Amino acid sequence: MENKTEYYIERNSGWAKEIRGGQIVRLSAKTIIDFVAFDLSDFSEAFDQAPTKEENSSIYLREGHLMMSRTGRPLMTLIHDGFRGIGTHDLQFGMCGRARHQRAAAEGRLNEYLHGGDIQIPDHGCAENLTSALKPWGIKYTNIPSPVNFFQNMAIHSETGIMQRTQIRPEIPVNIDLLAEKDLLVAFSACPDMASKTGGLPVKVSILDS
Amino acid sequence: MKIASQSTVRPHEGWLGEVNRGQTIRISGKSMIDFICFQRHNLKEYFDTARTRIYNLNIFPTAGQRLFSKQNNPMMRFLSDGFTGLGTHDLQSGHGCPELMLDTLRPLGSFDHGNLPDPMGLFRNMQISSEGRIKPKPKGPPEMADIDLEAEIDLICAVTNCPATELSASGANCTITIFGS
Repeated sequence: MENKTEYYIERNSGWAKEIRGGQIVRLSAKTIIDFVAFDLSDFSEAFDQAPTKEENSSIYLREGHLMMSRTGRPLMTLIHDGFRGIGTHDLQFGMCGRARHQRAAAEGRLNEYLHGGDIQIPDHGCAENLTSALKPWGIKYTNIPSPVNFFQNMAIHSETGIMQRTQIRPEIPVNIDLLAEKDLLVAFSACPDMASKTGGLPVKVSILDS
Repeated sequence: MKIASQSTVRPHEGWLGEVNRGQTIRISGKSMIDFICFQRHNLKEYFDTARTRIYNLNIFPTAGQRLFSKQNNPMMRFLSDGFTGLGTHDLQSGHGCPELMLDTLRPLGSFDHGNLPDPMGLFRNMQISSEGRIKPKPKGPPEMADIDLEAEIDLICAVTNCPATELSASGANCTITIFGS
């Protein structure tokens, strides 16, 4: 891997970039990242949680798993997971954002973020960050799929189905390596990660030529 | 409660209809049935599996929960679940019969594989191990079971009776009843 381009993304902001098949996206972080991908030749061929879970027979995205498109074509492969053995990546959540935060506040459910009931809520989140990052490509909120939420470790009870947020994150930034299976538009939000001990943190992303 | 309409949906057929705010749709069946719904006055607002899971903090939809839209608004209340104790409904998978759902949605225009919302898979009974492995455990209810969903806003609902091979080769009829006015 000779050529490497690095970007630093501030907490609670978004980023998007076109990449070529065969390149590797390396995310280095210790807080939640809401990540999506689109086939560069057809943005309706977006990442989709459901065919991804079906392809991998798993509700979590693990090392070796494929990220699939809406019609069931491979977009990316998770070739290295620095979170392995520490926690799991989420394929249940949509995106946090103004509407979700406000509903949680209105319904008295802010304690679900694990810091008590009177926390400050940000005025925007991953929904706004991804919408803004993808605007130059003309992709609107309604066409942004539910992401893979890296480092969003959830406790899921397999019998009752009950889910809870947890504060399990990497202690130090670790790498997630995603191999592009074709030319893609990739985008992510450095989540405000309200449930974590640290809150949202910046994310380093590198594009590597394989 | 007054019955507004009733339809029979045979295996490999779909149903598309309006459900007004306050009305209840009862889906009675025993084979796999995929369900989606749209805000009637803005079809870009549709049932969303991720927002529904997160609002309810549960991966299995059942009575007492609400169905949510992509825009984080409530769409339906899950009033009663005749499958309780027998198995679980699914919010992890795509459509069992996507072509059939697209045919069913044809009167609405403008739907294809690229913008077809993922469904609630009734009677799909996916089992999930503690490590997150998905294991289909096909097991419909022995008798017809009723699923009651109350519309919180004016909706267009779509149902496909999709007896996937893993459940039953022949499948069973499904009945859609709308209660209320």
